[in-house]
Amino acid sequence: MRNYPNSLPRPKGELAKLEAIWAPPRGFKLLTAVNNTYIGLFYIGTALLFFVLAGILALLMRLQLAVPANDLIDQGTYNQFFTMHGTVMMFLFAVPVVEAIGVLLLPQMLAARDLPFPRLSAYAFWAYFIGGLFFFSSLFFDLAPDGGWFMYPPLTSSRYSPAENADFWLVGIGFIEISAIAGAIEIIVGILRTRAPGMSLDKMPVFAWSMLVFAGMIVFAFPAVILATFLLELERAFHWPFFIPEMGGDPLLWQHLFWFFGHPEVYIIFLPAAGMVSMIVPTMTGVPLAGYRLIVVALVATGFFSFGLWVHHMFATGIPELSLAFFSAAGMAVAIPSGIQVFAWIATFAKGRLRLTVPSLFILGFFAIFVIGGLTGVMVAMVPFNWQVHDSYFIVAHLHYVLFGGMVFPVFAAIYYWVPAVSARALSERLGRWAFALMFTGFNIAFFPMHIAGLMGMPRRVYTYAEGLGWEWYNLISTVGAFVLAAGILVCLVDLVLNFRFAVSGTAGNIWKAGTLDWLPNGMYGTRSIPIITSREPLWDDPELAGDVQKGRYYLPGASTGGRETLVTSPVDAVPQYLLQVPGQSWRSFLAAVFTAAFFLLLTVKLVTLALVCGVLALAMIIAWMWQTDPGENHPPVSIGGGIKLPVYVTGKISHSWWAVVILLLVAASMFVALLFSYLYIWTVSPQVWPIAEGQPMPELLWPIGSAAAFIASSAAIAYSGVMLTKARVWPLRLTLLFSCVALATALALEFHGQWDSGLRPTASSYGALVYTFFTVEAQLAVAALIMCIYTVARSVAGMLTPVRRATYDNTMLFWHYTVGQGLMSLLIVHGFPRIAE
Amino acid sequence: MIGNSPHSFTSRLLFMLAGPLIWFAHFSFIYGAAGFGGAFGLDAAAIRDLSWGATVTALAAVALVLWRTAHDSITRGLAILSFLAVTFEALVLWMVPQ
Amino acid sequence: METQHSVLHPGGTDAETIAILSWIMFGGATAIFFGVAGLTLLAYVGGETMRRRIASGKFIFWGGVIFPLVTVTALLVYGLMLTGARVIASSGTALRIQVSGEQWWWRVRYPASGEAAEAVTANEMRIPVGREVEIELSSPDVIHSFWVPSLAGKVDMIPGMVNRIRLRAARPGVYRGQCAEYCGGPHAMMAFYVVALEPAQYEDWLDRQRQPAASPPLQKAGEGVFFSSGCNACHTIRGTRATGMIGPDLTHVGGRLSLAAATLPNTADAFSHWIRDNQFIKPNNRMPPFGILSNGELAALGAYLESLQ
Repeated sequence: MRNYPNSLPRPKGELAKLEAIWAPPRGFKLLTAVNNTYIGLFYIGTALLFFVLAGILALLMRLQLAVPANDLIDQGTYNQFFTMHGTVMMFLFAVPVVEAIGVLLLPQMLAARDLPFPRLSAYAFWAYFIGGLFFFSSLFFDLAPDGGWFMYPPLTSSRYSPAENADFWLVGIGFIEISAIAGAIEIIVGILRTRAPGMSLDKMPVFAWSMLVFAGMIVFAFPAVILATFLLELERAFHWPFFIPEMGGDPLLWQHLFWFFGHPEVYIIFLPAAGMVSMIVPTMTGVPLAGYRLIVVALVATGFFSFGLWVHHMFATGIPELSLAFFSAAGMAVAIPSGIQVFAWIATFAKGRLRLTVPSLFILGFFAIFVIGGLTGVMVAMVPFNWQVHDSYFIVAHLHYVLFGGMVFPVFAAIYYWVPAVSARALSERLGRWAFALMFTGFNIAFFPMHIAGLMGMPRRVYTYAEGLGWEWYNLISTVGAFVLAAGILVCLVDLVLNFRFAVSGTAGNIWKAGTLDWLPNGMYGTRSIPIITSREPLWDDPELAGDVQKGRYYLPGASTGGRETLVTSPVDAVPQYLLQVPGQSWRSFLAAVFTAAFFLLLTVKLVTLALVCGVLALAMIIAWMWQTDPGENHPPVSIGGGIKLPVYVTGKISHSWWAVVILLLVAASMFVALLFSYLYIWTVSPQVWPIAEGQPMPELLWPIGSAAAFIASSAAIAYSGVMLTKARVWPLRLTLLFSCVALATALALEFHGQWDSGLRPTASSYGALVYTFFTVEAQLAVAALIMCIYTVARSVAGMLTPVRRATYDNTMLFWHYTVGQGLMSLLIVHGFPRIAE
Repeated sequence: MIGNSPHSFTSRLLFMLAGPLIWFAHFSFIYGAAGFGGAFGLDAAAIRDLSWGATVTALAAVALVLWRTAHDSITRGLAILSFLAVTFEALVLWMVPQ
Repeated sequence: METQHSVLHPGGTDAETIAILSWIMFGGATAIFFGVAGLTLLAYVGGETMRRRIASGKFIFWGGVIFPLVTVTALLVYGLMLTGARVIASSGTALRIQVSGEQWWWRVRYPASGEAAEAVTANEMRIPVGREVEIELSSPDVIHSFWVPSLAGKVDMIPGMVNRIRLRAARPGVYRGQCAEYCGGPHAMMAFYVVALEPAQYEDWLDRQRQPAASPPLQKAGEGVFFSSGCNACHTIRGTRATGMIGPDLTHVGGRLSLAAATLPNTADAFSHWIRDNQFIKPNNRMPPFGILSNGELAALGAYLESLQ
C-alpha cells in the first residue's frame, strides 16, 4: 500500500480553483500572458517565422548564384541578403528556437507549474519579437547590414560603412543578448531549483542537462559579444578607436571577442538539439538511454572544451605556429565527447526496437548529416587544410551540415514528437514522411556540392562568379537542391496549419508511449499534483503515475495560497524547500519590453530625444513590475501533503532571486574579464600608445585612491544598512542607503575627473578608449545599483522592507558589493598596470 | 523542511567540474603565455618551460581528482576527458619546434 | 587561357602537401561515415548477438572514446609534423614581393635591388618556377585575404600588420587567386593571377617591369587623352608625369593577362569598355565612370594603354 502525500477524495472545487487561478488571458489581453506554455509557443512560432524569412533570403541568393555573371540580384542587395541570412538564422532563429523549446517543455519535464520568473520570459520574448521584426524590416529600407554576419572591422567601422546599416546589426544583436541572458537565468534557476521532489540530478532528463549546459555557456560566452558590439558602437558613434590600427587599435581584437562567443555559440545551438535527440531516441526504441552518465559527461565536456577553440576561425590571420597548434589540438579534443554521444545513441538503437516514425526519420537524418558535418569539422581543425578551405564554400557546406544537421533536423523531429503534447491533433505521419524525404534529399543536393565548389577555389560571400572556372554545375545543382529543401519545409508548415490545434487539456496525449514527465496529463497549471520521482522514466516504471497525479494524490494538488505556485527544491537531491509564488499575467512586463525595444530602435535611427523618453518609460515599467515582487510572508507556511509544511517566502542564499542575481553577476564578471583581455591584448599590440611610452602623464594617484575610498565607503555603508535592517532601525537604514548612493557616485566622479584632468580623451587612442570604457562599464553597473538602492529606500518608506521581508535589500546588497569589487579592480588595472608595465 | 543549503551545492558543483576547470586554467595559462609572454619580456624558451610546468601541474591535479573520486562516475568521466585534452596540448608542446 | 585554381590541382609545393592531406582525410572520413552508418544499420536490423554487443557499455567506450581518440591523435600528430616542417626557417634566398590588398584590387611591388629600380604592377604577379617566394601582405583599408589555391593556403591581409606567405611553384603555369575575406562591395570581383615562369623568362619579365614606359609612346593621341582626362591623378605611368597612387600602376598594363582584377580580358576594346562602363561591370569600385569621353577618345585611350607593354 503506497504512502501518497495526499489522500482522496480531494475537496470539492479544489481543481476548479486551480484552473481558475491559472486561466490564461483572452483576446488582446493575450499580450499579457506570462505562462511558459504561451510564451514558449509564441517564441517557437516567432523563431520559425524568422527561419522561413531567412530561408527565403537564401533561396533568392541561390537563384542569383545558379548561373555565372547573373544579374537577378544586384551587388548591394546580395551583400545585405547574405549578412541578414546569417544574422537572422544565428541570432533570431537558432538560439531562440532551442531556448523556446526549453521554455515550453522544461517545466512540464520537471513537473513544475511554470518557470521561476515568468514575467522575465515574457519581457525577453516581446523584446525579441519587436526588435527582431524591426531588424528584419531594415531590408525593405535598404538599411540592412552588409558586413557579413560576423561584421569584421575595419569594414564595419564608420569609415568604410558610414551608413546606419551596421548600427542596425549592432542593435539587432542587442535584443538577442537581452533575451538570451534572461533565458539563461530562467533556465538555470528553473532546472536547479524547481524540479519535482526526488528528481535528483542523476534522474533528470537529458534534455534538462543539455539546457543547463546551454544556459551556463550563454552566461560565459555572450558577454564577449556584448562587449564587442558595445565597443564597435562606441567606435562608430563616438570615434573611440578600438579596431583602428592608426590609432593603436587592432581589427583582430574584434575577431577574438567575437569568436570567443562565436564558437561556443554553435555548441549553444547544438547541445539542446542533442538533448532533444536523447529524449526522442529512448521513446522510439522503447528502452532507456544507453550510457546516460556518459552522455551527461559528454554534454558538460563539450560545453567546456568549446571555449578553447575560438582561434580556429582565425587560423589565416598570421597567428604564430605554437598558438595555432594549441587551438588545433583543442579542436581535436572536442570531437571525443561528440563521438560518445553518437555511439551511445547507436547503442540505444541496438538495445531496443526503433519504430520508424516521423521523429525517428528526422533523427536518422540528423545522424547522417551531423556525422558528415562533424567529420569535415575535424578536417577543418587541421591547420594546413584550414588554410585552403577557410572562407570558401567548403566552410559554407561544413557549417550548414553541422547546423542544419545538428540542430534543424532534431528540431523538426522535436516538432513532430512534442506537438501531441500541446495540440488536440498530432501531425500527419504521411505529410511528415514527405517533409522528411524532401528535406533530406534537398539538403544534401544543395549542400554537398558546395564542398567541391570550395575546393575548386570558390570563396564565400560572392554575389556572382566568372564563367569558365568550373563552378557552374555545382552552383546550379545546389540551387535545385535548395528549392527541394524549401519544398520539404513547406510541407511541414502545411502540416502544422492543417493539424496543429493548440490545446492544454484535450491534447492528443502520449501517443508515443514515452516515459518522461512532459507526457503527464496537463492543464495550464502543469500537472494537477507534483509527483515524487524515483527513476529516469517515471511513466514507464509506474504505470499508475499519470492517474495518481491527475487525481491529486501527490504534492500541492490545489492552490494553497490562492495564487499561482510551484515547488522549490534543493539543487542536487530535489528535497522540497519552499513554495514559490509565481506571477500571473501582467501588462507591465509587456510594456517594459515595448519601451525597451523602442529605446534601442530609436537610438539606431538617431532619434535621441524620443529614445530617451522611451528609455525612461521602460525603466518606469520595470520598476512598476518589480514593485510587485518581494511579497514578504503574506501567508503562513502551507501544507503540500505528506506532512510537509513549506514557507511561502524565503530570503538569503536559498532564495531563487538571490540565485538569479548571482547568475547576472557572473555575466557581468565575464564581460569584465573580456574587457580586461581587450586591454591587455591591445597593450601587446600597441604599447606605444600607453602613457609611459607616450610620455603622457597619468592621473595623480590621489584620484584613484580617493575613488577607491569612496567605493569602499559605499560598500561599508550598504553592509551597515543591512545591520540596521535586521534591527528594524528604519531611519538609519534609509540614511545609510542614501549615503551609499552618494559614496558610489562620488567614486565614479573622482575617477572620471582624474582621467579627464590628466588630458586623456577616449578619442585620442585605443588606450584612451579602453580607459574610458572601464569607466563606462562601471558607470552602467553603478547606475543600475543606484536605481536599485533608491528603490530599496522607497520600499522601506512604503513599509515593504522589514527584517523579514528583505529580499529586495539582499539582492541590492549583493549587486552593490559586486559593483564595488569591479570598480576597485578597474582602478587597480587602469592606474596600476601602466605604472608597472614599463 | 529546508534541504541542503546552496553553499554546499556550489562546492559540490565545483568539485564535479574539477577536471574541466583544471583544463580551462591550463589552457588559459598556456595560451596566455604564448600570446602575451613576448610582450611581458619572456623569450620563447621561457614560455615553453612555463607551459611544460603548467602542463605537468595540470595533469597531476587531474590525476588527484581521479584518485579522490572512486565513486562519482560523472566527475571521473569529466576528469578523464580533461586529462586527454591536456595531454593533447602536451603533444603540441612536444612536437612544434621553437 | 588555362588557369589553375583548385585545391585539388596543386601546382605549388605547399598545395601539394595539403592536397595529399586532403585526400587522406577524405578517404578516412568516407570510411568512418560508412562505418557509422553500417553500425547504425546493424543496430537496427542486426541479429540478437550483434545487437547485444552494440548495446553494451564497452561499445560506447571503444567506439565513442577510444576510436575517436586514436584517429584524432593520429591526425593531430600528422598535422603537427606538417606544421613543424613549415616552421623551418625560410632559406634566405627567397624572392621578396610586396602585395597590398586594396578595395578591390591588388597592388604588387617588387622592391628595388642594388641598382635595379623597383617594379610596380597590379593584379598580377610573376614568379620563377622552383624558387621560394615570400610575399609581404598588407592592407591600407579593410581585411582582405590572399588565396591562390593551386599554390598554397591563404593568408589574411590585415590593416596595421604585415603578414607573410611563402609560395613555391613546382611547375610553370597560370595560377588564379581570389580575395577570400569579404571586403565589401565587389569583393566577388577581386581576383588575380600568379604566373610561374622558367627562371630565364621570369628575369626577362622583371627587367622589363623595372623599366619605365617607352618614351616617346607609340600612341601619342591616347597619351594626350590620358592626361587631359585627369587619369594621372589616380594612376602612375613610370617615366611620365603620371604619378597618382590611388589606383593601379599602369606602366606595363598592356602586357598583363587581364584587366580589373581578373575581371576582363586584356584588349584595347576591354580598356575602352572599362573606362566608360566600369561601374556597370564592377559596381561600386573606386574608379568613376568616364561617360563624357567620346568613342574616339575612348578608342585612342584603349590603344594607348594596350601599347604599354
